[in-house]
Order: sequence, then C-alpha cells, then structure tokens
Amino acid sequence: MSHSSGGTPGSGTPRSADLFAGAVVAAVAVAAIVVSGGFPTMAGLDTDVGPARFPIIYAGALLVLSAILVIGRLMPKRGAQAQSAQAAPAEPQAPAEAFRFHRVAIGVVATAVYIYMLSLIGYLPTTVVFLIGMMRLMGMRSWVRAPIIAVAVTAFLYLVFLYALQIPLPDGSLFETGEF
Amino acid sequence: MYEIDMLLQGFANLANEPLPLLLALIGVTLGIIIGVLPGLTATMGVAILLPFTFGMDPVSAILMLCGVFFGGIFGGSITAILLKIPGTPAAAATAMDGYALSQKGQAGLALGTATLSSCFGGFLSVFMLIFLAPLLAGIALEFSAAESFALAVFGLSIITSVSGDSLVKGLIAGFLGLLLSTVGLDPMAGFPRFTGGFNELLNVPFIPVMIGLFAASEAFKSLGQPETRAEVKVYIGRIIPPWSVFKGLIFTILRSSGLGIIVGIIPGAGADIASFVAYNEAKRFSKNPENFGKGELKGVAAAESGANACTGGDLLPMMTLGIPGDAVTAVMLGALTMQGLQPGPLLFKDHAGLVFTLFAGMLFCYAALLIIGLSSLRLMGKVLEMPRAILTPLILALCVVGAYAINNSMFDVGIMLAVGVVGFFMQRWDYPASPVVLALIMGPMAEASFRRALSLSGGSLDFLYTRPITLGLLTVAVITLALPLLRYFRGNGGNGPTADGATAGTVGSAK
Repeated sequence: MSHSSGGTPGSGTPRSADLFAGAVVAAVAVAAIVVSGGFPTMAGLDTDVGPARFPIIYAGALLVLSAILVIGRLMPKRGAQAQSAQAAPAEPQAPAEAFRFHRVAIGVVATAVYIYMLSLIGYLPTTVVFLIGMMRLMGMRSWVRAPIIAVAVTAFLYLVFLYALQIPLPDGSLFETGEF
Repeated sequence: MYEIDMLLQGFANLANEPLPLLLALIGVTLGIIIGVLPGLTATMGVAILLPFTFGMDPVSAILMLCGVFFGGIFGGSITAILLKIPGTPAAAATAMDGYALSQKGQAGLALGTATLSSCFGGFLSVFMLIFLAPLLAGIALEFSAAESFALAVFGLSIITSVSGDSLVKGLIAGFLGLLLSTVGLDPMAGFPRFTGGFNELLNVPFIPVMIGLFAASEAFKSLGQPETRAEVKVYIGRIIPPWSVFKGLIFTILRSSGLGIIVGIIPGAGADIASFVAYNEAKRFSKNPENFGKGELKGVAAAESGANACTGGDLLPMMTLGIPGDAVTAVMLGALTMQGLQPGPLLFKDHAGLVFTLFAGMLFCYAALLIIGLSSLRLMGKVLEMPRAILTPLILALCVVGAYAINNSMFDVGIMLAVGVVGFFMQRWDYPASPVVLALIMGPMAEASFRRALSLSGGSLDFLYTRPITLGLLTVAVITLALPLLRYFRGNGGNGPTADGATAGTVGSAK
C-alpha cells in the first residue's frame, strides 16, 4: 500500500531491486521461449498459429519490458531521484521503524517446513506447532495464550472443514489412517 | 417487466430457503471486520473465504462472497474515519475528511454518513446491474470469437495501464500473468505447455495463485512490519445524520454513485479509483471546495458512495462478459467457475433464475450492511485491538488450509506458497498484483478466441478489421496503451501530482 493521498509515490524501489527483477523477468522470458521452441508446429495447417505462438509473443514482450526497466534504471535520471524512502508502510503515520526482513524469511521457511510436515504427520499436530511458533515470532510471548489460541484455531478449522464442508484435512502419509 | 418479475421471483426463492441469507449475513459481518483491519482487503477476504464456499450450493457461496466483498469495501471507512488508517485502499479518500470530522468530535456523524452513503451507492449499483446486465448479456450473446478476442485485449490494455504507478511494471505484471496463463493444455490442439510433467498443471491452478498473491503475500509483509498498537479514543456521538444534513448530501451521493458505477464497469479500475474520482468531482462541484480535507461531510459521502457503487459496476462485466472489473471480481469469477457456472452471456440464458436470485441476495446484502454497519460501529473499534501476532499466523494457516481444500492437493499448497513469496517481492518493489490475475483470466480467453476466429476465417486475419465491434474495441485498446506511452516519452515520467497519479499509485500495490 503506497501513499494514501496527495504524496507522489516517487521511485520507491531500490535500484538493485529493479535490476534484479528485470534480470529475473528476462530469464523467465528466455526460458519460456526456449521451451516453446520445442512445441509442435502446426505445419501444413495454416488456420492455426500453433501452441507456441502466444507464449512466445508474451515472452518477447516481457524481454522488451525488462530491457526498458533495466536500461531506465541504469541511465541517470533527471532529478526526482531524491525521495527513495523504502516502500511506505501501510499506515501513513506509522513510525519509521525498519522493516524486519529476517522475520519474513523465518516466516516463509517456517511455512514451507509446515507444509512439508503437514503432508507427513498430518494437519492437527503441525498446525498447532506452526501457529504457536508464528505467534512467538511475531512477539506473542505468553505460553498460556498462544497455545490456547493455536489449539482453538486448529480444532475450529479442522471441524469446519470436516463437518461443514466435508473436506477431511490430511492425516499425514506416515499414518495412513484416512481413507480419502 | 421481465427484470422485475425475475427479481421478485428471486426474492421468493430466497425467502423459501433462508440458508443463503444467513450466510450472506455472516459474509457481510466478516467483510466489515476484514475491511476494518488494516492490511486486510476485500480481495484478500474473498480469496481466503473462497475455499470455504466450495461445498455450498452456488447461491449461498456467491452471496457469502458478495457479502464479504461489499462489507470489505465499506469496512475500511470505519478505521479511516476513527484513526486515519484506511482499512482498505478505497477508504483513503474517506480518511481525508472523515478523520478531520472525528477530530472535531463528529466521528459518529461521519460514520453514519459513510454507512448510509455506502449502502445507497451499493443499492443503486445493484439496481443498475439488474437492469443493464441482461441487456449487455443479450448483446454479448451475439459475439463471436473475434469479438471475444477484442474484448479480452481491450480489458487487458486498460488493466495494465490503470494499475500501478509505473507503466512498465504494470505491463510486466500483465505479461507475466499472460505467460502464466499459457501453462496447461493449449486451447486448440490440447498440447500440454510448461507443465514440467505435472498433471496438476494441466490447468492453471487459479485459486491457489489468488490466495498466494493476495493473502499469503500480505501475511508475509505483515511479518516484517513493526507491531503498532491502534487504539480508538474518539468520542463517537450521534450516528445517524439529521435529515436537514442528509438532505444536502443526496445530490452528492447520487452523482458519486453514478461515477462509481462507471468506474466499476471499466475493467481494471476498482473501488479505490472510484472513491477518489467521486471525491474529486464532489470537490469540484462544491461551492466551497476549500472545506474539503478539513472535515466536509460531502467528502465522506462522495468517497463512500463512489466506492460502494463500484461493486455493482465491477460485477457487471464479470457476470455478463466474463471480464472481471477488478481483482475482487476476478476472485469471484474463480468462485463462479468453481461452482460450475461459467460467467458470460450464457449465464443469463441458462441460469437466469439463479442469476436473479443472486441479484435479490445482493440487495439483501446491502440492506444487511446498513443494519449491521449502523449497529456495530461502536464495536468495530474493538476489532482493531486484535493483535497482529494472532491475525497473521491465522491468515497463513487459512491460506494453507484453503489452498489444500480446493483439490485436496498438497501440490496446490506449494504453488500458493511460491506465489506468496513472489507476491511479497512484487509488492515490495511496486509491481501491481491485479494485472497478474486479470491476465490469468483473460489470457486464455484472448488466445482461445483468437485462434478460433482464425480458424473460422480460414487462416485470414481479416476478422481483426472487418467486424465493427472488434475493430472498435481493438482501436480503443491501442489508444489506451499508446496514450501513457506518449506521455512517458514526452518527458514527465509520470510524476503527475494529479489525483489520478496518486490513486493509480494506491491501486497497484495495495490490491
């Protein structure tokens, strides 16, 4: 969420990020073009352009766009470079405290581990542990409130999905109890 | 009249079976809560709740999501007025005058006006939907593949140009979405593309992508933000504005609703743009524009009626043409498809009864919004005290469970997580998310209809310029894409201090 009103957004993204993103987009586009090259052509049939045409057009456009992005960032800008404040936080008047990247990284890894464990040992135990862990990560230190909330949320979701929506959540492949 | 008969029939259907109404009530309440909480948008609410509607009948499912949609658009105004924190991007315009009013001790008046204007705007837009949708669907029924292709291109061009503060980044997001939309079976020959051998990728896993892009990415962002505590210490006072005050607002509300509806119908432009357009117009029409920003009730009325009038406008192209008006309706399109209802002109032909039941339910949703809104205003301040340390883990858990439940597939959950991480960085680096999903929907439509048109015309590209509607739509599309480019190359790299510049900034990153 950028500025709510009035203020001009300015170039909020750091230069390295634009360059990096441009490179990633270009790489994706090149990969798509290479893979599309292997698609069957509709040779002899001139009423269809074949499966490769559209992906190649899209990827070509992405290549051009990423080039514009990267070149635009490499060239010196006339003025207006000043306010490179990091992407403004949601609240306009929020204290300018640093964004904690390490917490995001931990959160993403934790979610990935959670998803992996979910398929192994099932929904119930992993979700409780995941929720408690995330709550602690976000600064909820209580060993009473966090587990209670975690268990309540886990149980609530499990029951809603099982009974109201008739979707059993995974029991875990290690136990093989479910029959779904 | 056909529409009125059908609508009454729809009300009768709902009255016979009250379960959808109950779910709509729950939806509206959840929507308001989601709207109130900063960082949670209507789009996110609909995306997270979508898996829960999987097992429901279509009417219940869609009405519940409509409730979340409507409530979510409205709910943001409460925190905007009380704390100057727009709970949703659309409420940013409301915050300007609403907060000034609450500092003057008139918070209740501002809240009441916001609720009434939201509901009026919403009602008007649903009525517009009821009368225009069958008409538009009737026209669209005549469309062949060539027109569908032009329509998709037209929608895509507008979307990429209105969203985001950088045209290049908007276009990159749009084309990434288009490229992603080619994953899976090719629409004519049935050749699997970019699937890497995964059967799960024979169709684009649309809903997991939505959940990742709009919910998981927000949760990741929230992980990194410092904890802030918001507390409401405002005297609320009288809520319902006296008639003498309200009388002066009626014209503003009507005009803003009209604007909101039009903005809504334009693909890609959502409630956030609508509220700013309505606000600016109200200011322009006002006899004393200098009052705006200092606590002008008309400002609140205009922004809120504009934002909620946008809801019906957004739904119109989504339901009749299959082109979502913005990101929320894109998710709702996913919900309709999941229920086996393919949005488009045929929906009105084959499922007319159901569509009008939905319309009746939407009117009910706005009535419910009025009542729930007015009666819960004093409680909603409390919702804000819900700590993020609970909310964020809860959202993440919901994302995982929701992505799983769609197909009972852990593969989808992985997709959700990957997209969530990508979405986090996109948001961080100012790439708008809505073009991705809209392109994801319209990409296959564009490709399939182009290729069908090509084979219908025997391989000749004549269909691009011999059919008037196709030609017209394509011309508009080219102009929309060319205009900002021209402006861009003429210098002034888009740092316009106009409201459009500011709103466009809010749209992209916030959705």
